[in-house]
Amino acid sequence: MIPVLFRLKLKRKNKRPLRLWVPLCLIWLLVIPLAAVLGPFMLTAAWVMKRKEYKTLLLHFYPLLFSALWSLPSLSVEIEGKDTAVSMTFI
Amino acid sequence: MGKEKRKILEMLSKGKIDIDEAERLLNALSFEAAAVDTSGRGPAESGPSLPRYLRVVVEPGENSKKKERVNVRVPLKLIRSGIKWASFIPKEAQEKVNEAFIEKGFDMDFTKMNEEDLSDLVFNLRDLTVDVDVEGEEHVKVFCE
Repeated sequence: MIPVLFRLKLKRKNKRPLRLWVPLCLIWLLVIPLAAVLGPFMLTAAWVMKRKEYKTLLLHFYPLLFSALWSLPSLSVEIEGKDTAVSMTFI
Repeated sequence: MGKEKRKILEMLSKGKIDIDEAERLLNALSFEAAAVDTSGRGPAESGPSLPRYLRVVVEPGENSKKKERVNVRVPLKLIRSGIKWASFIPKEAQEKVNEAFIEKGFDMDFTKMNEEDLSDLVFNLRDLTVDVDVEGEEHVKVFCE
């Protein structure tokens, strides 16, 4: 499933902790129509391209991009230092 | 018996594929079934369960004065799609990367990895555990879960 939220937690010594929830679903609402509009241009560019590597890249760009996006949920990075702790999670 | 398995056996009986190819295809099918099982979408027909995440944990050791901790959880699906992106690295850069791999003792070409190699890689990662203790200063653990 595509990630819908990005959660960022930042804790600093003697400072208020920062908790940020980024609603990625709103970004996808903008990105997906844009990708759909650009799709025909990508296909045309792939058709016009002479070098095979670029042609393959253009043709596989969307499937690979979306497979990477679909794999993002549950990606989590937590780093805790002496005075600071950062936690990033895709949900 | 699954439709795909029956088809493979039919191809084998008709002599369209040899025993090795049939074995390879049946193995690939069992990996897929196991992947379906671990993703929670449904019961697997057969085969062992596959790991879903690669974990990297760095903790301070007993004698360490540092307090840094790192805890990373990477979905293996993301690693699979990342490796697919590697095939689009320009040829000139690919050669440099391969040379660097050979220098470090890895005689392999990531850009030529196919779906089957990826399945094998992920399947074998289930047994991976790297546990390094740097003289009580730092404890690094890499494993799959």
